[in-house]
Amino acid sequence: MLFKEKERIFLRHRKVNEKIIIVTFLMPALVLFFGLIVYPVCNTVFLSFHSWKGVYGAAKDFVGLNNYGKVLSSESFWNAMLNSVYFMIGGFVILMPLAFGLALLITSRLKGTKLMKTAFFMPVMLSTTAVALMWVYILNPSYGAANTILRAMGLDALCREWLSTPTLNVWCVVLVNEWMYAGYNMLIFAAGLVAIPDSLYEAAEIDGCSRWKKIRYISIPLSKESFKIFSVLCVTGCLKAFDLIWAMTKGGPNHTSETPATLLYNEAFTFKSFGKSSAIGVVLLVMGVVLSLLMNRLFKKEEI
Amino acid sequence: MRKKVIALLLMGSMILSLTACGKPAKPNDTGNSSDSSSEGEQAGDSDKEDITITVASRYGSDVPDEKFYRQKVQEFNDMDNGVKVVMDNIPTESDYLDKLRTSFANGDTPNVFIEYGGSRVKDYVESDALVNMELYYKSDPDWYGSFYESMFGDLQYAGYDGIWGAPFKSYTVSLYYNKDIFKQQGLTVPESWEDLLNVCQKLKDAGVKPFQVGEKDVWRFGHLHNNIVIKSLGTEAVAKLADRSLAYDSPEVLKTYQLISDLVDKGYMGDDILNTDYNTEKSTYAAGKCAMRWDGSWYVSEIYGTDIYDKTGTAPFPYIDEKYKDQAQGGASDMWFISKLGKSDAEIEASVEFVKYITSQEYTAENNEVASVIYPIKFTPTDKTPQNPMLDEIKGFVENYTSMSTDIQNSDPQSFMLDTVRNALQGLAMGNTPEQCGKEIVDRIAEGSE
Repeated sequence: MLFKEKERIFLRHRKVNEKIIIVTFLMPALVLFFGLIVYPVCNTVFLSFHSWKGVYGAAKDFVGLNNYGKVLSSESFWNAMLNSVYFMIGGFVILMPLAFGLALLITSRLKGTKLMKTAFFMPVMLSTTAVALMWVYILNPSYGAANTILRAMGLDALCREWLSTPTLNVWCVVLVNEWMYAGYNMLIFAAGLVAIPDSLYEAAEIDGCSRWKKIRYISIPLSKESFKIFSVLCVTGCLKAFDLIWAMTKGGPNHTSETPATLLYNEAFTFKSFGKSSAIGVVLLVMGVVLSLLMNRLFKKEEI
Repeated sequence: MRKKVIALLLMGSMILSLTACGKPAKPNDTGNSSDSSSEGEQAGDSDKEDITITVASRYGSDVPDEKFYRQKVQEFNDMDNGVKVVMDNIPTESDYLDKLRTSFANGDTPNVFIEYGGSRVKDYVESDALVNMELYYKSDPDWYGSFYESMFGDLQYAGYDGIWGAPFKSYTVSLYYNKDIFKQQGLTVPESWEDLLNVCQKLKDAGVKPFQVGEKDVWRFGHLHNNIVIKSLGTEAVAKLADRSLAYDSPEVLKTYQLISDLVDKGYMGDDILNTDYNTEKSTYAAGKCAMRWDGSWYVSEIYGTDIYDKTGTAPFPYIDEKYKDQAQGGASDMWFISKLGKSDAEIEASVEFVKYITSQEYTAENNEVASVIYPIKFTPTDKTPQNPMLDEIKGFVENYTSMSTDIQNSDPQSFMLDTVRNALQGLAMGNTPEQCGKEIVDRIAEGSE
């Protein structure tokens, strides 16, 4: 009897100890998660209902939904959203086929795939500012390589002020973005492609499938998970596009290349409207979550 | 047991590292009796330990007066007076302001910083984040008396009694032209807007760029517009624009945008102006690739001692209505402000000491030996002061001016107006119409800050 009681106490202690260990090991991650994600998000939501000039300790006046009304009725916000849509179009029309094509190339049996992998991944390893600066110089209308090459080819009529012409400037940044991230997305697709069993390709070969048919009927359908990951990353990444556009155009000239994220920054640090800036942040967060869920549902439906 | 101890230690260190990023004290904390006791102890300990203050400025380039500033800060640190200054110099205006504004948002501000007064710092004054310098001026009348009284205008705010900073530099905007090019083309210096247009056309016909504006930096058209408004509507228009009795989309103001638009359309402003920055603008002029430029009087100190100084002539910015010929853009530009956001009394005292040092007549007289500019401080030039005929000429213009105004939007009650107007003016270089420019500004005013 006494032995059983002792065993029960021992087991109870062990359980409590295990729980302590679990909580202890989880604590650093939880502290970081709450400190760096949950708290800032809650603070942004709180701030979006207030008016604040961006001076620490200064009073924050409650303004209700006023900031949201201003954001959603502002022409500049919808212009910025349109620029984000350009990023998404570029992502799905240019980046996705490009990255998938590169993935096919590096997972093929061609010679030199190791060199290709390094070469295609190189832009990802460069810092965004360095890439942006390099392209700003290439696209400079007076002495940049782009216009110089066009002039040398006798195509003077095609020379443009690439980064200061509205809409064209956004597309220039979109293309630089695709150039930079093609290697990163190539890895996502390559990871999916290498998981496809060789037996499927061998069977297709026996059935007399051409290379294109193997891609069409084996590689693409079995890379669905990779396409799903790409889509979610692309949509959310395009909504929060900031670094490249900031380093190349700062959202200018006259706000023409503004994305929601640069608009958010400018509202906060140029116009000192931190409440409005937070409202933009919350709208972006909601859009990002809704679009991600939509993407998941879209791919799920197709599975059924 | 050992594992548990290690896990607990890890957890503890993680939490501690997070709490180390804790909040600084709020502005009202400074000077409170409870806090000042500990701060008093700190001050009392200052014999043992130096007080370190951070000073933010844009003086990081190699122009003579900025190099002189850094040298004098080093001398200040070498004085062993219990105060150590850590400089944070960021030359590019937008980068500097981004960092400064971020620091105000997170409460980790520099102790002392350079700003340009007026509406640009109004939010900080309203939020009680700055030290009111009036008390320090009152306790040191000699220091206060060393400044020209007119330079305090952009440091005073209706509803907030006091003087919120110390003037450091002053300026006026003038026209600079390449004497060789003018001589070769047989041109005379433009006095009126009509003269300017004639000169521009003749230069263009001769294959010479009249201007090469660096409008990538939005303040370039900002300054051009200031001068156009002042020279066509007078400095009284500044107050009218601020109180909205003169609208930014009124016919009178639309005409001012139209003048800029015409200069762009006729190709007088240069090539690729939206891809050209201020530094490229200056180097293009220095290389003799354009004939004219407008700029503040600081430009004289930048080119002093170089070849381009001898080739450059200067004139007042051309008038549009002769009635306003003797009015111009100018006044105090760079000003020192002291933050009290989370700063101890000892730090504030040290900051005041530094500002007094850097705005002293001795500093100014010495600075004048290496870089002559227009100062907001009265001083006696030393024997070592070099001859600077161009600056003397500009000082002559200033003596003749009957009225001056700094950036128009510095007087605006809404602090976002300076950036709003400058961005809208940049649209003119993209082909926006004056009406679009006016509408953009008026829409933003209607929208308000929040």
